[in-house]
Amino acid sequence: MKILMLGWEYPPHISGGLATACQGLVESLLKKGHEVLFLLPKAVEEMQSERFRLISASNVELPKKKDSITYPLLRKLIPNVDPTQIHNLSGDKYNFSGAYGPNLIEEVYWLAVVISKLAKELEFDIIHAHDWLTFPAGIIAKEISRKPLVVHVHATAFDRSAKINHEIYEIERQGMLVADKVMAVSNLTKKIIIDKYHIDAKKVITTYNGVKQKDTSQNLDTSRFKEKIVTFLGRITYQKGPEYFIEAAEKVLKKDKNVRFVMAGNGDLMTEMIKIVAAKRLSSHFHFTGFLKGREVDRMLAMTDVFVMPSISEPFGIAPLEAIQANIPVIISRQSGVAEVLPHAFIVDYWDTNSLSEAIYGLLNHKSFAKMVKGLNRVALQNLTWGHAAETVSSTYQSVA
Amino acid sequence: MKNICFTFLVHQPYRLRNFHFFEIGNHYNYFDEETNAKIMRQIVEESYLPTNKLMLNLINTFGNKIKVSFAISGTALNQMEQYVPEVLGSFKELAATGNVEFLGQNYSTSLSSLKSESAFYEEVLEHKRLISRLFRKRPKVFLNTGLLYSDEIGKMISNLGFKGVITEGSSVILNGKSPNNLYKSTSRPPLILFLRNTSLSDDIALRFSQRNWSEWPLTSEKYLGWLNALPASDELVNLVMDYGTFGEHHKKESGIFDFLEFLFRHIAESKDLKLSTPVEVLKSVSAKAKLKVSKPISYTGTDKNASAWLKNEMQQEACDTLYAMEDLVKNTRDKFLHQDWERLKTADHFLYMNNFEEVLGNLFNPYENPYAAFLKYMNVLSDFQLKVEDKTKKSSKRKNTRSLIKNK
Repeated sequence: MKILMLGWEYPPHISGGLATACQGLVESLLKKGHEVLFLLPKAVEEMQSERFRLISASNVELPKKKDSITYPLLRKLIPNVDPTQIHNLSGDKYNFSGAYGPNLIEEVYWLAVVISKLAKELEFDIIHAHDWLTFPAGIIAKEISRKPLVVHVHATAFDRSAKINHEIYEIERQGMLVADKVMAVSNLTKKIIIDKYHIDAKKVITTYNGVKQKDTSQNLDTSRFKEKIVTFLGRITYQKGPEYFIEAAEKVLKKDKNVRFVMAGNGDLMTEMIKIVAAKRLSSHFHFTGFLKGREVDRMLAMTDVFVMPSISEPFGIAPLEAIQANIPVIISRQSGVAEVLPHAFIVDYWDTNSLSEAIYGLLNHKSFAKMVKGLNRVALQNLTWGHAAETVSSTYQSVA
Repeated sequence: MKNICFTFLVHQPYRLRNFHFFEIGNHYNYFDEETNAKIMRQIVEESYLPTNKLMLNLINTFGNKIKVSFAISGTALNQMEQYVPEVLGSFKELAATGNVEFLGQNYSTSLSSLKSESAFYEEVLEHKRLISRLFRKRPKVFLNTGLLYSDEIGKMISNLGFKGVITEGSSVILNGKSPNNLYKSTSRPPLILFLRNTSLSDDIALRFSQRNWSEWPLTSEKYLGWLNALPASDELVNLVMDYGTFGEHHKKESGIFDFLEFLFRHIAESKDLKLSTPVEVLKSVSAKAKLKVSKPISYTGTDKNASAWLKNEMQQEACDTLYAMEDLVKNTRDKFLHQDWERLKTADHFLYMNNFEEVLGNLFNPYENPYAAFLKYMNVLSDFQLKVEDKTKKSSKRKNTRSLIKNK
């Protein structure tokens, strides 16, 4: 099948797990014989191979003339973008940042404007839109091409912050309503889609992410500290539960000073977390690394003895899978979708820092326990490939095509 | 006449309290008195008391035609004394009829037969003393934790003066032979081996209330028919099961009590079958052949060997850590430390740490998963280690002071 895929990021342009997930899925779909046209706001460089094309929306010239079908449609669906502005841009390009900056919502709608042109020019059998960022574009593409639309929900507004952004919620809901099928990255997310977006359960299909098989034999720096290292790796935002990690660290350190805690990543709560750590007088055993890129992540993992993901709401969570690959025992919160695919993972409720600290202490101090957790998780990981994910996605396409 | 030997297993471990690692070093109590008392009361009310009463009534009606044997663990007896003394009275009543035999065991239902010969001897003697104190009986036949047995274990049991031992009629050791005869161990003098009839025991213990079982509902007449259909060369049938089978695993509503009562009535009235205890069988039946058991067998877990308790790394680390402390604990000569040590040895703690896949049956397992079981156990063990070390230091200090005074 020829798939028009809409995404916001693609390697090497990475800010969260979305780019990695898109790439893993695309590569496996290609292996299955599908063709993929991948549109994103801004690509570092456009790529083209036999069955894959990466299209940067920033390079697409907008239509020169008013078009009697498209313009009313855009006005109806995305009233936020002023048509005169579109008119002014005719024959020109919209310069996307492709980031998650203050213009995000505006860029989301401009991507829909770009697709209104491409949907007429490109040939494809199905539209696959990743997350709310591309849902308006997906809706427009469907309206114009009359091809089926599948939306892929990697996260919902309920996972992003304690306060729901209603504008985004509405974009998400519209996308899910118009879509022929909705793919959710876990049963946890599926449940949110059914309960909070009121989408027909029959339309929602759980599609677990895979994890790229990686060569873990390479020799990376190991720790320069004599203490053991416990790592939190991810965005430092409300949904990731960073303060519970600090609380657990405090409890472990009361019992065992021979441990260092690392919070790797950045996010809107970073400065607040630094303040909390200082107020608790933990700074000598607690470190912040800021945002880590590809190889730095591998190095961080190579130094890690225990990996913790205490997310309050995690639709899936690829990071612990990477830690498992690096042969690290992981602890994940029950509120993480990834817990569904790791039946023998060590699971705690994110707020239960007593159990969390006890598990960290146990994994650091009992070899047999760490070995069991690692071993059983690795077995589970073997079944968690992008190939399997692509199979579910393929059959979802078939069900609507 | 075929001998039908019913052996009822009565055991409860001292379950651990939710002992958090913050508490390590505080030397608080390890055991969950509330839960242990609750579980003991529940099982006594639902199972032990009504079944004992049924047994007593049958004995009053049929006299010597009703015979059974009990294997009651030390930790169960102590919890009965502590929490529900009336059930102990009811067991004593049964003991006084003379129709009931008590089997030898290791006090805490431990894995000492695999881990430490000296600990094993001590535990067996301690259990013997307890049975003698409570029931005025001297066990002659032995039943090890989970029916664990090997030639090696047989030697130890024989050294302790037992005449026979009950173990699993495992196909691995039988090689096509019938479990319904007596066999001899390889030790000298040979121990007589009683083999549990696996399928006939499990028909009652496991399958009785399974509605999807092709033989459901199991009536006493049907079961009697199976016993009668056994070949004439079979001299005895060992039916070994948890006492909780009656009223606990299979609730009263399943009809289990009626089944038991009528089965016993039928056997008591039968010309071809008789209820016996192991010691009686020893007198009337002679052993057929020698059985070699080079690796431990048991009736627990899917593999019916020691793996249910000691398969994975957590079980092994926990168990090795525990037994490494044996001499230190002994040397403290501290009654309370000794008591903790006995209760920590109970094999159930290791069974809770078993892999996720194994079906563990009705255990009142207090843990969500094996990890939690391991963490709690290791927290307690860490604290216990500290306690023992403290005591050791204190007593060596005292000795030093004493010798200083002497030297002066």
